[in-house]
Amino acid sequence: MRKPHLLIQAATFVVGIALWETVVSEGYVDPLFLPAPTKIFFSLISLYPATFAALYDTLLKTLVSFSIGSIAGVAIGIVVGSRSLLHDVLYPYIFGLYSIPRMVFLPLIVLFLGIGFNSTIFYAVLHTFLPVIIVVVGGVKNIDRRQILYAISLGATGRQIYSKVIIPAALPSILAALRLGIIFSLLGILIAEMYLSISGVGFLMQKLSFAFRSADLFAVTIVVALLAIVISAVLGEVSKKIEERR
Amino acid sequence: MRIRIFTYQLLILGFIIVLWEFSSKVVPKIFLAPPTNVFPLLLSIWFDPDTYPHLFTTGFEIILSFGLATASGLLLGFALGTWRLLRNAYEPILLAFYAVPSVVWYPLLLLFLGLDVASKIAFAFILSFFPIILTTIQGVTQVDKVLVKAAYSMGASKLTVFYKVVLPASLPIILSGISTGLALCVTGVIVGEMLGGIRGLGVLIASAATLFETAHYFVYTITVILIALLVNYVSKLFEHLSWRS
Amino acid sequence: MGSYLIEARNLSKVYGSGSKSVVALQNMNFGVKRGEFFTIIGPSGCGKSTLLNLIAGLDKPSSGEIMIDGRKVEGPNPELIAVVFQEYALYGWRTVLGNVEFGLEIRGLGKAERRERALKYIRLVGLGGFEDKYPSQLSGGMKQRAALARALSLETEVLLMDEPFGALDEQTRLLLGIELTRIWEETKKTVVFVTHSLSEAAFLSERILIMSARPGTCKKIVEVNIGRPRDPNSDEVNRVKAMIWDEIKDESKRMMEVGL
Repeated sequence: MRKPHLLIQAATFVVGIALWETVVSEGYVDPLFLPAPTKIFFSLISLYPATFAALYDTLLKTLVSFSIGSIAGVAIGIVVGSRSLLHDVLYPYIFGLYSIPRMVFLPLIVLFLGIGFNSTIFYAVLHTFLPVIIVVVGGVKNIDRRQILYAISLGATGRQIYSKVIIPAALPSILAALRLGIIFSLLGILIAEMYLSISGVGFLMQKLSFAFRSADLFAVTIVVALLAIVISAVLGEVSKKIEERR
Repeated sequence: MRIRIFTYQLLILGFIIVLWEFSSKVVPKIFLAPPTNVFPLLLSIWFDPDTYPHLFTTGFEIILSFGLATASGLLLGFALGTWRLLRNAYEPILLAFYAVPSVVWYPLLLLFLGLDVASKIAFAFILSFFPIILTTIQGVTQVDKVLVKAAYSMGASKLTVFYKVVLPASLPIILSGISTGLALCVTGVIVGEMLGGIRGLGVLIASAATLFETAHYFVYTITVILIALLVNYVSKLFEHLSWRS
Repeated sequence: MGSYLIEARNLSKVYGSGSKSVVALQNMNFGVKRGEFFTIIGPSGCGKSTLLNLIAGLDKPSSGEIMIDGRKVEGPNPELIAVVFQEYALYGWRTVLGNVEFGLEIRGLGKAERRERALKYIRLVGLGGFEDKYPSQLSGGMKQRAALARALSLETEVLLMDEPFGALDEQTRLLLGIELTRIWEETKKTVVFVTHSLSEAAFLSERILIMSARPGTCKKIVEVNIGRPRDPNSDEVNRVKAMIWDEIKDESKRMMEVGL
């Protein structure tokens, strides 16, 4: 048997679906809460337009917050990572902010920016740029001191050291941070959408949840989950290709 | 040098508080409760017995979800770490699910389990389960093979090798995963409560915000931040203690 | 049978199967006498470590067998064989004392007896006073002494050593080599010592098995009849070194051409 693990995966999936279908059709669980897989499949099709519109909305916002958050995060990360005083003073704050539930700031943001696009983006930016900073700082800190010393000995100016030594050497970390950034952006947007309830996938899911439309909710959840997995896999492949180029 | 750093940090904190105080004089009180209002309120709320059921609920959710995630994460992690076939089959699935932003599961959980503690516990469980099981697997697989070989050469049985070699050798990595898991439990519980709940600190935050009780919002938020920081600090300490090797 | 304590008969080991199979050892036949210091030397990648694993019972031969004291080797035998590895294999979370006691714990010795025996051998290898230190606090040479003490504490008849000094610098190697000879003479064990160092082989052993390049076979067995204590720089030792090198150099070249 060439790849036995694939068989186990397929078997688990099939057994899982079969169990599910039996449990529901035999009436062990209230179909209001756990719909049959077949029902979910039909929901997928019927909800297509609504899902698509919501996804478009959410992904657009994700892209905006990711752009802002990642540029800010990488820039701040490089600066903080390369200056030891700045690092020692600010890092505890940065890490502290990262390690708490940042959602607690959402009402404060809403207080200033109102309910809508602005506060959603602002919160997602907050959500994104902290982990990005941390990863980039880690990458910059890991740069071999000697490479920098060598550049100085050749008479490089500050700007040249940044552009020719620090940024290229930190590039793998920057790429890793960007990958993380997209996921955190999406997460931030979804949380904001669920809390603020105006538009997007998060709002759609909240709405379906409170309306007890379980089959529909399952369908949307599966779509979003699959999308996230695909995006993550694609990003993984892209990073690998970039790494190989070096 | 250290004193210099510490001084700068205190200055930053001080600056934020001063800015906070100043801006609430400029912006109408309904928007920003100044520190002079917030801190006395904080003390009175902390000692108010009405707050305790909420604190208890949040704490209960954290502890239960963390216990479940650690127990199942460790158990399954050791199993997958030890048996290659299982690992090859299920680790990719775990990694795939890990890539999904966990909050997408929450509306389903609310639907199934309602607004009470169960949905929060389940949500926090999902959040923390993945890092725990994945780091456990990594911890077990990265044990140096020669350490295992040496034990076998001294006559150890498979079980003895697990207890006396694999476990201690993988402990530091596993503890860091559990540490992450704990932080995620706290986050998960609070996010869950804020997005819809009956009792708990997160619910208090969300309702204070909705009712424009800004001072109360600040108090509850600061409380949550302090709890999160404390929990993280304690678990980091625990981690450092294990790094003897 | 006869005067050999350890005997390899028609020993072969193959890894993988079909088109991807690698013959590591082929048809090895040799014997180790009781109480002798026996060295196995060969070019890199010739299968020396594989051979040692088979003798230790940590792996099974594909064909043929290994007999120790008349009995076939079926698995690890901590009553009879103790192993010292090149990478020390010390447990970082245990002190030196804890490491040396490890094998005795598995054997089931009582706490007091374990401690007494462990301390005896810690002192024998020259680590007295360091028993409460952790491996990370020790130098390479000290770590290998600790690994040696652990193996010695099992009080087995046979001691297998897989390139134990490979990770150490030359000076430490020489010193430990002298120590090892002293310990061997005191404890009268049978030592099977794997190395790639010509000096070590010539200096330490009574008989040397020279292996060929992959697939590893017995090329030649050399007797070293120099009296002890030996001078590592004497003419006699250098002559033995030259003799070994003569046999090995073609094999080494072959391995390099294959890309090892």
